[in-house]
Amino acid sequence: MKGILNDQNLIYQQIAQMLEDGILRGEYPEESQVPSTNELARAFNINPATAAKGINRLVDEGLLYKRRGIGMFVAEGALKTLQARRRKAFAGEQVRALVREAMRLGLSQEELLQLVGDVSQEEGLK
Amino acid sequence: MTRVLRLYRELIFYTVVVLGGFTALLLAGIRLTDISLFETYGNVMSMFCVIFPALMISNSWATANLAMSFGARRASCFWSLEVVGLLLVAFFVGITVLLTNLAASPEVAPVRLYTIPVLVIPSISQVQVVLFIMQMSKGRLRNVIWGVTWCAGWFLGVGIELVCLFDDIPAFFSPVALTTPFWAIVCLVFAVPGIVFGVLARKGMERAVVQL
Amino acid sequence: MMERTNPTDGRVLRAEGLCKSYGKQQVLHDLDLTIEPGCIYGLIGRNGAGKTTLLSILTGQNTMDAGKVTYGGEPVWENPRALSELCFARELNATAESAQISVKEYLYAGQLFCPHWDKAMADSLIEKFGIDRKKRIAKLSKGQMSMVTITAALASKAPITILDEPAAGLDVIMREKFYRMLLEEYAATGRTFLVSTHIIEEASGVFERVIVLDEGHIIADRPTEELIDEFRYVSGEKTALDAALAGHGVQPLQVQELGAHKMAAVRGDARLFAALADDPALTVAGMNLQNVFVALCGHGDEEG
Repeated sequence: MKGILNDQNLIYQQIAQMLEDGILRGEYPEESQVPSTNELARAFNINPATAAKGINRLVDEGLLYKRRGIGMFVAEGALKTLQARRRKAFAGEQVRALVREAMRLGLSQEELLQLVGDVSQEEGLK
Repeated sequence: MTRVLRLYRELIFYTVVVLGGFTALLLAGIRLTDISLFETYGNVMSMFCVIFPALMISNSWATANLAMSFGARRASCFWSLEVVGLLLVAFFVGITVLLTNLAASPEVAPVRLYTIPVLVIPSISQVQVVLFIMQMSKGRLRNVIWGVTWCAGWFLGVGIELVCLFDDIPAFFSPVALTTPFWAIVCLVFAVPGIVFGVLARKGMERAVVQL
Repeated sequence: MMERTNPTDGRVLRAEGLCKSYGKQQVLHDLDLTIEPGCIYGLIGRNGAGKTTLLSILTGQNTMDAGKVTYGGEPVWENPRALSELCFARELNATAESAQISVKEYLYAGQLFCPHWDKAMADSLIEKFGIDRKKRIAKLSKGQMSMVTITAALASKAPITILDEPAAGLDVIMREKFYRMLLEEYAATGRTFLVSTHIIEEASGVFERVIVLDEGHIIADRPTEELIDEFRYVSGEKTALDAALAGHGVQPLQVQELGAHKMAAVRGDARLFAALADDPALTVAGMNLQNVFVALCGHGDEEG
């Protein structure tokens, strides 16, 4: 289903992102196996080399490791590593985008923080 | 080259079957019936020799292109076409000689062995001209050469026809053989363009562009 | 590129300095191209850019005015080894002289001249496509002609297989099937494929490397994602955008104005795009391969 991939980001980055999201959400617990390059290629009708690039990015970041003859597995401590990395990017990307949108809407800092507080309460963020 | 020849198996097969059958039918008609139509056709067989092989080869460029598009070498295709052309000429001359000699009819002039060169040489030349023409893209020059080849073939065919038919032909034209100066010159006149176009065809083939 | 168990060194198809003219019109200009084994290449270009000419020269089926084409170091022209390892699956059309050939004959020719031909595969594909083998090529629909070409290309099992517009005439579902078949064959054998197409976006995920041919010049020859990554759409308020681009010394490839809003297709590196993205007045978005192609080759067709 190639349609799931978007136009905005490189395919291998989207594959890497998808696997990362899976790890964060607990779909791929530590020491569990993730889909192979060929499975990913087949699922999205893409070149295996591209799928491999996505997986290799996670390997380089220490999130996945290879068990020869079996496949790619989620590394121990991957969840923590991933959360730490995403937290670093969180400020620069999501928060910045949120603040900019707030600016466009003419919200003040106080109003924005109020909104954040309200939604956090709804969602159950402590 | 054998691989390219295998692509021509249908052409050769149908030629042999259809024309062989046709000849057999004529022979049967001549010997077993009194219908003069068969004799008429029997007589024109020698005319066909000079025209039909060339005509049949002219449809085979597509097959050569097909072979080349899958990676056959141009040289293989050229020589295969030559072989097929020669086989066709040999076949036509063969059945003509066979038919006319087995007909055993006063209406059908037997083609003697010494007449064979006079049939073969122009036929092969026609084939060479056609091999050359096939490589030319359709245009005025191509049509002109095509037309001239055709006319020449018909002329010669009819000529041999008439000479074979009539008994009291002047000695100048008889017998239809290379030993008669007239026919020797005719064959030379036909052989020269044959050789020239044959060489041109080979040269042209070296740079042929595959069009499928 | 995929690692193969049997290395195919010395099986590089290389063109150097190719020039080709038809009469007064020069179709290919001093073209260099290297096709390395074990990769799926896409050749994209507008109609008339010279794709088919280039491919037929690469496979020794057309002559060139200058330059050379080698396979494993030896010239391709009339070279039995090269010819047996290259397969050029040409686009079929109903008007050609050879369109009177039947599908059966066409495949038989493939069987004769491709030493690695897989007859079982050819038969099963033709059956899967539902094509009557006895039918003449001229009597097939455009889509069926494409399917026959695809059958020949896949069944040839040639180390380097070149397909010219294989998806032409196929509906979108068949096209997806074709890409799947191609990828499966590639995954199974690691054969080299060079696919020329003008249906770009669908195929972009399939190509590991893309070659862009524009008016007889190769203007890009890169891994697909690397090429795409060099381009962005930048949009924002007109004066802000112009100022930002001028400030970075960047000329946009394409622009579109919509009142006070302006959009531009920009080529650059990660540093440039990060700087532009930091600018609150601008929005930076990625492009897909088709957008990149239009930005690169759409010159001269701008309106207004």
